[in-house]
Amino acid sequence: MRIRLLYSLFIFYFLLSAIRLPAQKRSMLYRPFRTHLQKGTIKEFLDEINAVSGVQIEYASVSFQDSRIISPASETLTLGALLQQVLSGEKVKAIEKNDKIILVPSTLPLAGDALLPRYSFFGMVGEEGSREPLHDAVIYEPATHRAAITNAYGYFSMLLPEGRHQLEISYAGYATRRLEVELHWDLRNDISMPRKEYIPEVIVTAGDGIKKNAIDKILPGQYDAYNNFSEKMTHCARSSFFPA
Amino acid sequence: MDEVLVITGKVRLTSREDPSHPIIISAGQKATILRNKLSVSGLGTPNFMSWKTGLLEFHQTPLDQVALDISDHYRTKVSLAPALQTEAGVIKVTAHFDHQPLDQVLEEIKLTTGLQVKREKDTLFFVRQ
Repeated sequence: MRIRLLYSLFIFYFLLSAIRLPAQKRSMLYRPFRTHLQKGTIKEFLDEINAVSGVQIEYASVSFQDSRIISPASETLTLGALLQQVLSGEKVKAIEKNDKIILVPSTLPLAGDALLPRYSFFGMVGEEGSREPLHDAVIYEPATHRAAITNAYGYFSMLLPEGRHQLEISYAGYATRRLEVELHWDLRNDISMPRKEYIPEVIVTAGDGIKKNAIDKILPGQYDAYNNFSEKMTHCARSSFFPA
Repeated sequence: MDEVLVITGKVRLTSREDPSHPIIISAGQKATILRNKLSVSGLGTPNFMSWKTGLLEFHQTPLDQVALDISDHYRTKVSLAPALQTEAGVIKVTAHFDHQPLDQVLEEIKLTTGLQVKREKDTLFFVRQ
């Protein structure tokens, strides 16, 4: 009995290790890393990473001004986020090859979020109180024009770069919610939407712009904003059933 | 040309022609015998042990020194194209190669420097495209 228990435990751990393997293949930019420098040249930051982080960064002095002084604006938790701040604006690209990060000269400056790790931001959107899922609610980031839409279960998921994000969640008939999230890992956030208390009355009137000579064919008593079209239809149908 | 490099301890050297003047070199020095003349200098490159460790390390190393170390380690002639000789000191490479084959090493240097590699007879040249 005990052997069988041990055996199943062994199988369980074996499976667990199999599941964790792909996660280790994740980009080196996701590695947790905290710099001890508050200010320094690009070269000093790269030296620190090479000495401490266990990840090797290769570069040549021609690619960028490695003596430019940097002081990261915000605290960074991953290698990618730090490199993004250190190399911001430099004409350089990062390639991962042979288990190293290789900085390659580029014609374009580094994009604003090129090296940032991306995390999944996901959750359910539902009505406040009833928790009824809302289908086709929009989760939108105005700054970057990134957006996601909920599915029939109210579920959404979007990939966002590490850092602070301001999002708007909107759904017709519900008050728009504004949300600020700080992503340093995959994050679940369920959102409840309050119903709009007062929706102003809207009057819809039929226009007669598209119909050709429509007024001529309708008797004065039949004219009504809602039924002129259907009257015409039944009239046509009648005439085809009982030809004159 | 023969060399003696000392990593730890001390080594006494005498030349056959002039046995009365021995020289002693200690850790971090090397002695070179060129046309029966002994001369002592610093070790220069940190990669003198790469034949044993399999490690090639470059830290802000000028490209011409990088080419020399690679030549030594892989026993292949690697050099800079004449047009590049003047700016060889400006191109400084930071890289770390651990038991990697020559083509990977060259590929990584090509990527970081933006240079290309051309083969002429038995020599590999770094060239600017």
